[in-house]
Amino acid sequence: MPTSTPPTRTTPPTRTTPTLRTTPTPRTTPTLRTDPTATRDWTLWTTDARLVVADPRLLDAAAAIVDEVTGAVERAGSRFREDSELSRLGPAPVGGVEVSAMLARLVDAALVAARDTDGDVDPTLGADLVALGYEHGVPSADPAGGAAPAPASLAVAEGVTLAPGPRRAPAWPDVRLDGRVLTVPAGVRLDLGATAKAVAADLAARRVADELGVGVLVSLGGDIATAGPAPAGRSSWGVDVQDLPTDPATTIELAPGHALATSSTQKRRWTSGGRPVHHILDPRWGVPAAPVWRSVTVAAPTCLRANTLSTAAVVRGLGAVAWLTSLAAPARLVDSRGRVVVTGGWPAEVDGGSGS
Amino acid sequence: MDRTPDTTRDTGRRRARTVTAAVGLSAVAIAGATSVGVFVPGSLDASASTTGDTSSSQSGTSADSGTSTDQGSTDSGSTDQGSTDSGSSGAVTTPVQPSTGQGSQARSSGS
Repeated sequence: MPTSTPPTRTTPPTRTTPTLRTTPTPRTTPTLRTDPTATRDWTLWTTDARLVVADPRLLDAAAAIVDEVTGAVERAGSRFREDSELSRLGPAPVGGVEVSAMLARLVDAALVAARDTDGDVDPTLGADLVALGYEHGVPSADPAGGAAPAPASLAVAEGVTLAPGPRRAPAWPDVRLDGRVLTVPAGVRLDLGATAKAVAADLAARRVADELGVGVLVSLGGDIATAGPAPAGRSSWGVDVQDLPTDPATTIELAPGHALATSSTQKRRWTSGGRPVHHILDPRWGVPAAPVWRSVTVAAPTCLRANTLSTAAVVRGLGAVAWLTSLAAPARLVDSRGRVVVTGGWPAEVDGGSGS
Repeated sequence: MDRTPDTTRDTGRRRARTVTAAVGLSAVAIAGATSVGVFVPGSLDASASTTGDTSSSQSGTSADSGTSTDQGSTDSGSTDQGSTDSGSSGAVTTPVQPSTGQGSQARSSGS
C-alpha cells in the first residue's frame, strides 16, 4: 500500500554530466494524505521535469530509470551536445551509417511524425534553427553577431508570418532508416528536438510501470506520459494546463496510460536579425510558424503522438482545428488573444474554465 | 516546481471561455470544430472570450472519469486517435475529462 511518507532519496546513479543538463535537484515532495504520491522535480534540457509515482516507496527507483532513459536519449539524439551520437554524425553528408538502437528509435519516431503530418513536423530543420540562433539549447539573442540573420522578409505578428522566399522541397522524405542504417541527405542537419523529448517521456513512463509495477507520470517540459494505474483513490491523473501564467488555465483528468503535450509559440522566443522569433518552424519556409495559436495542447495514447499533433497544429495555424477534429484528437488551442478552442471531446471551458 | 495538489483554491489565474464561432477563426476551422459539438453554443461575442481573473469555479462534476487502465504503447503508432465512439448514444469518450476536483499532479505547458 502506498504511504504518505516519501522515502529519503538516495544518491543518484553515477552518469556522465551532459553539457546542457543542470545538476539535478531532486526533491521528494511530501504529499497530502489524500494524494498518496511522491514527486521529484528537476531541470532537464533547460526546462522543468517532473516525476510522479503512485507509490512513494518507489520514487528513487523510478527516478533512476527516468535518469537512465533521458540520459540515453540525450547521448544519442541531442543537437546541443557535441559528443552526442547525432552531433558526431555532423552536418556533412552522411550515407549509410549504422547508428545505435536509441538513435534509430529517435529518428524513426521523427520520421513517423513527419509522415503523419505531411511534413509539418520536420526533423530536417536543424540548419534553419541554427541560422535563427537556436544552437545551444537556450536560443541566443542574435545569431553570431548578425552574421546569419533571419530571412529578410520574416515578420512575426499576430496571425501573420510572411514567407521569406520560395517554398522549399521537404528533405525529410530523403532521410532513410533501414533498420539501424541511417542515411541523411547532403547538407541536411537533423533536429530531433520535440519528438525526442516526447519519446523519452513515453519510454521512461513505460519502463517505470513495467519494471516497478507502479503508476507513474513523467513530465518533460510539459510533455506528459503516464503508465500503469492512476494513484490510489482516483481513476485518472489531474493535470493543470496552462502555458504562461497570464494565459487561460484549466485542470483536466487524464486517463491512465495516456499522454498530453503542449506546444507553444510563447516559449523559447528570442530575436534574430532584430525580429522576434520562436522555435517552431514552418518547414515550407524554414521560418517560425505564424503565431495563430499561443499554445496547443493535445491528448493521445502516447506522448509522441500528442507532441506530433500539437506541434503540427501550431504550424497549420487556422487549419489546425479542422485537422484535429478530423482526427478526433482531444485538443485545446489558445489563440493569440487568449481565446480557447477545443476539439475531439476536450472538455469545454465555460465562464471561468473547467479547472481550478 | 512544487505544486500543492489543491484545485479548490483560487489561483487567480486567467480564465477563458471556450470560443464559439465568429471570433476570427476561419470558416474551415469553425466547421471542423462544430462537427463534434465541442463549442459552447451561444456566445458569438469575441470580446467576451476571456473573463479575466475570477474566483474559483470548479466545474468538474464527475466523480469518476470512467477511464480504463489500458496502458497504451510507447511505440510511435500513427493511427491511434486517442478517442473512441461509445456507439449508439453518440457520446464521445476521450482520455480527457473535466477535473474531478481531486487535485493535480502535473502541469502541461509549452517548453
